[in-house]
Amino acid sequence: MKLLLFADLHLDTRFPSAGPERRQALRDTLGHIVDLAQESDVDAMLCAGDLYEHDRCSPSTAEFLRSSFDCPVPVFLAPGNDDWYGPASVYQQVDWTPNVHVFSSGSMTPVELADGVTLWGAANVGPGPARDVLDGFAVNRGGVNLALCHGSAPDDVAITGLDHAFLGHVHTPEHATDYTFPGNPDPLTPGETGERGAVLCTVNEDGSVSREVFDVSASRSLGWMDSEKTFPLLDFDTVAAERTVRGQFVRDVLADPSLDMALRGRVLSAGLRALEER
Amino acid sequence: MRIESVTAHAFGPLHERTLPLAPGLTVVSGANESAKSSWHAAIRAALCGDPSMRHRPWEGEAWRVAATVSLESGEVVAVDRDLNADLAPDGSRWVGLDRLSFAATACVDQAQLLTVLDAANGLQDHLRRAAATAGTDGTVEQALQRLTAPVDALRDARNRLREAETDLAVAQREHTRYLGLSAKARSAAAARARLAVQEHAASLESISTRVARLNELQERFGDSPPSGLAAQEELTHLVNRALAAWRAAPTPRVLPGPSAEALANELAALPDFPVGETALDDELRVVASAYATASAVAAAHHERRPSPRTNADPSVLRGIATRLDPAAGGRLTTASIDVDTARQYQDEAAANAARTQVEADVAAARVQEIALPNPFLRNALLALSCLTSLVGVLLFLTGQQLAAMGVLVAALVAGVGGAMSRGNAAQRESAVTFAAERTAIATDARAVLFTADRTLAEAEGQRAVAAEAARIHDEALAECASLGVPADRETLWRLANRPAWEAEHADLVTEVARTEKAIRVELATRGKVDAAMTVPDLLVDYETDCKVRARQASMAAQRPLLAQTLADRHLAEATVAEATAAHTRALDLLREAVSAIGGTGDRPEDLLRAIAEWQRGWDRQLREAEDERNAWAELQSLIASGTLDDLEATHSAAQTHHATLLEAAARYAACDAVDPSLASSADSLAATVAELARTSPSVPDAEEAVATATAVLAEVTAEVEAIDLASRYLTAAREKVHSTIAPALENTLRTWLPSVTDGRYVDAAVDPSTLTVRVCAASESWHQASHLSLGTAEQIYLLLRVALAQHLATEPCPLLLDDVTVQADDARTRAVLDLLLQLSADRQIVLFAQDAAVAEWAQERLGERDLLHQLTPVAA
Repeated sequence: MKLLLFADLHLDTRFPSAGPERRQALRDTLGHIVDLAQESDVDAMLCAGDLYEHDRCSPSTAEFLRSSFDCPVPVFLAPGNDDWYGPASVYQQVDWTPNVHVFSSGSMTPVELADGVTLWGAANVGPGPARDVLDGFAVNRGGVNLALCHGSAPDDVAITGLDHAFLGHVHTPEHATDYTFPGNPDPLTPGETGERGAVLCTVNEDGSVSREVFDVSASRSLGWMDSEKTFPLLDFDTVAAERTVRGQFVRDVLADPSLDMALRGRVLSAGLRALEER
Repeated sequence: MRIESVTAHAFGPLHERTLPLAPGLTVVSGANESAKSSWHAAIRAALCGDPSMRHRPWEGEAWRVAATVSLESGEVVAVDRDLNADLAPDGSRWVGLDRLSFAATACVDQAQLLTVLDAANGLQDHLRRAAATAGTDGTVEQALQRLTAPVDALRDARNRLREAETDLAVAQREHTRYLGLSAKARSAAAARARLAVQEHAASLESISTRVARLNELQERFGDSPPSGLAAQEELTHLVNRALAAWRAAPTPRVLPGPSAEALANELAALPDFPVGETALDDELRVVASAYATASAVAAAHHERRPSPRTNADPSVLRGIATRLDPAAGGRLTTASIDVDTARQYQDEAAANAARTQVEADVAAARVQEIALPNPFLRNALLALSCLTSLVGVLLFLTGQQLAAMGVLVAALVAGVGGAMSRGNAAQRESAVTFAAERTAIATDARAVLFTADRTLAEAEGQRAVAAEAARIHDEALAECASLGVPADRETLWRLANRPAWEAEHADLVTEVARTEKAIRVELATRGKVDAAMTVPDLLVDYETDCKVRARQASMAAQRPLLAQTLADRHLAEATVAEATAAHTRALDLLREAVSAIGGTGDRPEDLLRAIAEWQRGWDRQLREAEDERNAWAELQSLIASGTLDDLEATHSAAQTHHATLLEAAARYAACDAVDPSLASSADSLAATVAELARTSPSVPDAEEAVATATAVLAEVTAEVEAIDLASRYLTAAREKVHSTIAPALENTLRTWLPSVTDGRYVDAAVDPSTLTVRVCAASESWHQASHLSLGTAEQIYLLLRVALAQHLATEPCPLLLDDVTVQADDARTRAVLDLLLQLSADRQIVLFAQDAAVAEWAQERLGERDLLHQLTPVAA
């Protein structure tokens, strides 16, 4: 059985720069994921939460999600802490097509994926921090048992009797023996590491899972990676060697330990610029 | 640093030419077009590179200069610089400068000189610029003026942040409102869909029911109407009549009590009324009572008969009875105890009296032992003391101190003696008081002893009386024993009074006989005469007869009541017989009706049960017939509104529509149960949500705007802080540098000024704060350098340039002067040249000049350390 897993897409999130373009890129990324699911002929597509951000979702998000998931592939959605399930959530506003199943209970609920293969899922059902739905859960049926949820501690997987858990909330991807964090498929913050994207999971008969990561990001190639702005500190040695007021100024500023790097650069720049302009 | 030579391989008009430079003053003289400026530029280019493009070679692509330089350390450096691809280092670094500061420090041209000399504060401004940036850029003062905080930018940034935050709050509020309204609209849509399903379900149910009913009725009747019921009214009448008769018939009553026959027998058995008394006669009762009383009194009197018989004289018996005193022994015992008690008390009182008397005697003896004080002696001593004191004072006043002292000592002795003469008065007084107390106590003790003596005497008297009474009692007991009579005072008294008892007893017996006779007479009058029977037995016999007659009279008195009861009984039994006959007739009718309807039974309850069952069946048949008629009417009504095919078509369409409604409602399966009243507002809510979706601002856009505005504000704030810090650092740096550069300039001026001005100016001062230069004339008057004559100012400027070059460079730096004398007259020119020659003693100076007078001066004045180059015009 093949499953395409993704999580933490965070549609409608905010960005330090190029927000509208990058939010559109997030939607394009979801399109890539759905395309990949159909091309890979997967048995189901799984989203482990934080598909969108409830506090920021635009009015068009509901229709976008409905139309995006209107495909032949079964879709299973486990709401996370940013897209929690509730009366006002987008999940309840959408007229989902029959292939979409939204886990709406706060406790683990089973769905029969195939004969002998059960997918357990749960939702975060209110605002607040992510809830560990695996805490206290135990499998009570035979066959291969899989889980789809958001924010659970991976250490709990081993004692639940699950064969594998597909988890969200942790953005750094992690592919362990009995759980998978796919990470956010499209860059959200600077300095993200690890191979992330949509994870094509092949569930074997013994419950083990083999994985292959596909880069589905629509924004990574566009070079919108944010980086922390740093003030360039030039080589002031030449000026500092001057026996002039300018040289003394540079020496004093460079020698002052109370100034941090950025402020030191700003002070030098301001002073030298003022001296240069005639 | 010293430049040994410069070679222009290809530079402007120069081609493979070398210009050697002297360690002192090198004068490069030539007319226009003799390549002076090119050599000046070539020297700078060879040292620092970066020449102006106007110095590109006139021919060929190569652009190259070279120089040989000796450093202070003794090192000789050859610089060969390809100016098309210059990779050689900047030679000005060897003296601690760069190419710009080298140009500003080491290179002096006529334009600079004129600028400094012509401007009012030219010299000061030049010094400030040189101090600030080695002449390459502006002064600190100019920089400080430019370092003003961007107040407008800061305000704008704050305003933009506030606006962005406001926009964000609006966007978040609208977003929350949108979500809430969306949920409500969704609920309303769900309510409407569910309500539509509910309403249509009722309609569909109605149609389904009609179709089913029409099918059922058509199958039941086909085209024929129901036949109705057969006529069975006759049976109904018969049954109803029987039932009415049965219900009207009275139930025969079972009469309680004895029958009429028993009552008649009882009436016949009643006795007649008896003759004679039926109760005890009152007179007889009185007589009998008197007899009973007299008998009882006589018997009681007989019980008190005196016993035993004695022959003693009654007076003797009375005397013994009088002397008998059974309580005498007890009184004697009590009196003895009282005597003992009194005696003990008397003994204690006597001892106490003796003891207190002894104590009183002792106290009195003690008083006698203490002598009486002499009041006269004490008073006399005190008076003597006072008198001698007075005499002593008088003597002292009269000046006879010695005598006065003696008299006063005597007065003191007399006073002490008088005071001490009181002696044992207090002791005696306390002894007297104690003796008086002891005497009083002894008197009280004697009074107590007297009382005890009297009490003892009285007790002994009582004991003597009691002993006498006991003795008399004992004597009377002895007499009783001798007479053989009991020693009981009452018995003795009765024995003494026996004759009186006997007389009284005879009277009582007589009274008994009299009353017996009277009652026997009364009983005889009532037929009770039997002398052998006692009066009580006769009375019992008579009373029994009375009771028997009373019983007979009571029974005879019931006869009228029993006769009436018998008559009533006859009437009741007739009524019961009539009811029984009616009951029997009704029962016959029931039996007849039951056999007519085909039932069985004999007892009334069986008959009634059979009739009830027949009636139930009949009612059912009636209802069924009614149902048939109604169903037929319903069928006709249904057919009238449409055929079965029409109805089934309508039903199919309704089912299809219902499935559509169910599908629509299923879209809202996730919605919880909602208020159906919301359904009516579904459209308006949907419109509101659509409008809100169209107009709501984007929350992330607003958040990003806030983030951007925050970053801008932080940037501007940091810029403001940086500007403030830069101002402070620059001011501090200026103070530091000026405080070192001002003394250096002063030293240079002091060293050279007197010689270059021929003693007209002997001292100089440079203000560290403003770098204002003042010079002191020989007359000790101070003047600002800028106010001096052009020639002097020019000399001072050149001196300052040398001082600056010396101060700013890390080792002696050559000076390159380009036509600095072109605007000066001969005198000024020679003065400047003389100064330069003097200055070249410790530094290399290269002077470019086109003035022929300079060349003449050079030929005249230059020495071994100097060199004159006279250039010829370069061919075009």
